[in-house]
Amino acid sequence: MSDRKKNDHLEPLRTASPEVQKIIKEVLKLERDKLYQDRPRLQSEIVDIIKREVS
Amino acid sequence: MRLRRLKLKNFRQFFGEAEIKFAAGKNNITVIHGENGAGKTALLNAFKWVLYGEVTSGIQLKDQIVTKRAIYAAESGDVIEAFVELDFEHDDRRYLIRRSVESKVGSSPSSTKTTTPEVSLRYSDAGGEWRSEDRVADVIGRILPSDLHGYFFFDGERIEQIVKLAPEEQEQIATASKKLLGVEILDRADNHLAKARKELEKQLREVGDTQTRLLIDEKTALDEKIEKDEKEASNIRINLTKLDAQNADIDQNLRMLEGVKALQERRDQLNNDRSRRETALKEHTAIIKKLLSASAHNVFLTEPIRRFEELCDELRDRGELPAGIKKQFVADLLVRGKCICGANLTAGSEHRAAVEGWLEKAGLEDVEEKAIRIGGSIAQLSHESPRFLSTLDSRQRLRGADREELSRIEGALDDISEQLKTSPREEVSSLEKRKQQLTEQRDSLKMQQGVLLDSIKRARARQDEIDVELAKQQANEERQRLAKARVDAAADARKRIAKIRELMEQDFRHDLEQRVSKLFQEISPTPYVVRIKEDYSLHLFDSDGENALPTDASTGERQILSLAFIGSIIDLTREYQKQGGSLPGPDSSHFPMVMDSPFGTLSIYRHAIAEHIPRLADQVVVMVSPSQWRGDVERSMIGRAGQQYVLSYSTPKEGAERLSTEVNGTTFNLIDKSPNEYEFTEIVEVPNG
Repeated sequence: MSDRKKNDHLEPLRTASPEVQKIIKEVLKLERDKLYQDRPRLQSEIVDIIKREVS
Repeated sequence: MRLRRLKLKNFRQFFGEAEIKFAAGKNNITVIHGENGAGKTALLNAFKWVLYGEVTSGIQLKDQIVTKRAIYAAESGDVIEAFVELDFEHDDRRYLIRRSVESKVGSSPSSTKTTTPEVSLRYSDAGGEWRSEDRVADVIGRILPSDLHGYFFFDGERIEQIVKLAPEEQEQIATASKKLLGVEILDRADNHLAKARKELEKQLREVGDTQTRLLIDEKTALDEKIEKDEKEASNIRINLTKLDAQNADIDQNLRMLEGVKALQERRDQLNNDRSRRETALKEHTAIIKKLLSASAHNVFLTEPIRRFEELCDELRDRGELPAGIKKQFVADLLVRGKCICGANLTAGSEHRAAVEGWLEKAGLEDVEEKAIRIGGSIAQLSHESPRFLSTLDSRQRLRGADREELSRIEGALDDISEQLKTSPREEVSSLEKRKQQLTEQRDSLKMQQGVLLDSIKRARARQDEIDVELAKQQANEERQRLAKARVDAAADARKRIAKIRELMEQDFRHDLEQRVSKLFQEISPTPYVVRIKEDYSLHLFDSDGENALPTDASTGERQILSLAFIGSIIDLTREYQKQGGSLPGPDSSHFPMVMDSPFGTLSIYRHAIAEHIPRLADQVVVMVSPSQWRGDVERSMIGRAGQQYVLSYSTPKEGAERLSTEVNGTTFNLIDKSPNEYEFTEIVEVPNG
């Protein structure tokens, strides 16, 4: 087993524009809250989040 | 999920009401003593039934929830209630789930009718007020998804199966592990963002011009093609995993056959060499590509370098290089109005005209400066070309050596295959022929997979081009600009989520491999090293080196491997959750390990397992027979046992051996004669000594 350097998991989030950061966080929170559902339909809610953040 | 209390009434062989309080904190082990058949597995099933309404496949007659003793002892028309109630904490809330059935006894026990199970869930938050929750399956599914249940509540005697699963089951394990880590949230977000982007593109299409519409239509068509190709590629991947498993089985069978064992081991070694050579070939090819991209232009610089030197020589021949006089110096003389010879440089004078004439010639100063600078770089470049050619040559030689060696290995592998195929032993030749068929199928699938992946890559590249073309489209109109910005934001968010997922998963599998391997080495006396493949399958190798060969695990080793795998997953997901604070993920901070007979088939490893596993989980419930408990296990666990119970089984069987056990200085019945004609089990709490 090689000793490899650990990745910085949050780097893609940190380097995003402020509105994309907000979109990512809100979308992930929404997904987390609906994790118990087999196939949640979140498309329209996510479209709303994007419209709100990019206006 | 932190367990507080389990209450049972008339469930399976537990007659009447009984309760188990679970140990937590420093002394986090709850020990449940019971002989075989006393109800340990029924207890494990009580968890599964109350949470999901199911019992494990090991239990027959799943609908026989109500204890037989209560039914046989009741009179016609009596109603018997059976329930399981679990009290637990999760994410700062306390939950009470209860699942119950009622049996109405008929004129005979066989005509008893049992109702459909009813379930209720209540919870209280920090305020302490209790509320009812109607979406029971949803809430429980969020706390502990049913496909993860097997990680935390398991039958120790079957646990070793985790190491040797069918490809579909392996896929489930991989999915479940990723779910705990939170990868499922990222996958779902990616999927939903893709759909949201499509919706936003539709809106852009509506406000866009003709060209924009055409581009979006093309992109949508490519989306459909990618989706179709990805589905097909995923099926191929599953089939390839199946073929690999079948191939590995054949190799294993050949390894077991006397007479061909040595040939198979030689083949293992050659396969290992081939894999290393292929990696080296890939690395050398990548280096050559990089070298060509960074330095190949040097070869084409010979002519420009020659021309530059020619030009400089011509300037030198004309005396213009190096420049004898500087432009600034001449300009200063003109401003001062006096030449270095002392003559006045008044306007219109002959002297002034002569000095002004030098301004033209003095312009060569710039050329001189550039000639010096470029000359320096050129001197450097003239060495680059031979150096590049020499490095390229040596790398190509290495690549050639890799190819030659690969060809030699392929030849040796073909020889072995031929020897096995033509073996006079029918079993050997048929195994090898089957192996060849599998290899051919695999090659064909690999080819199809390559075509599909290439097609997906091309389609994605075209989509990227379309994005660039869309960006170039006149986005003058505010509405069109805004719609485009939204599509871009959705695409960017998606790309970044995919990257987070990739980084997280890479680390998780690597960290898990290290943790499982370390734990395995601490427990097992063998020097074997654990490797976890991309599909989360576990493999043992005889060493950590490059020449490591796969080795077969014994039953005991498989059991250790599985326990180490589960313990490490619990430990690692908890650690990852702490690290990834700002990303919303599932609550994986506390999980119990409820184990039925985890030491069943182990002998020499008992002590080490009992010592290590409880340290990984926050709470451990261990169900053991006295023979599994006594000795090493007791010595390792007793110091952390916060609660102990005995399953006291009563049997109507005449002449059955009566057994008892001593716990904390008190004697408890393990098997006793039933006072009536019914069998039943009582749960007896052991007073803390």
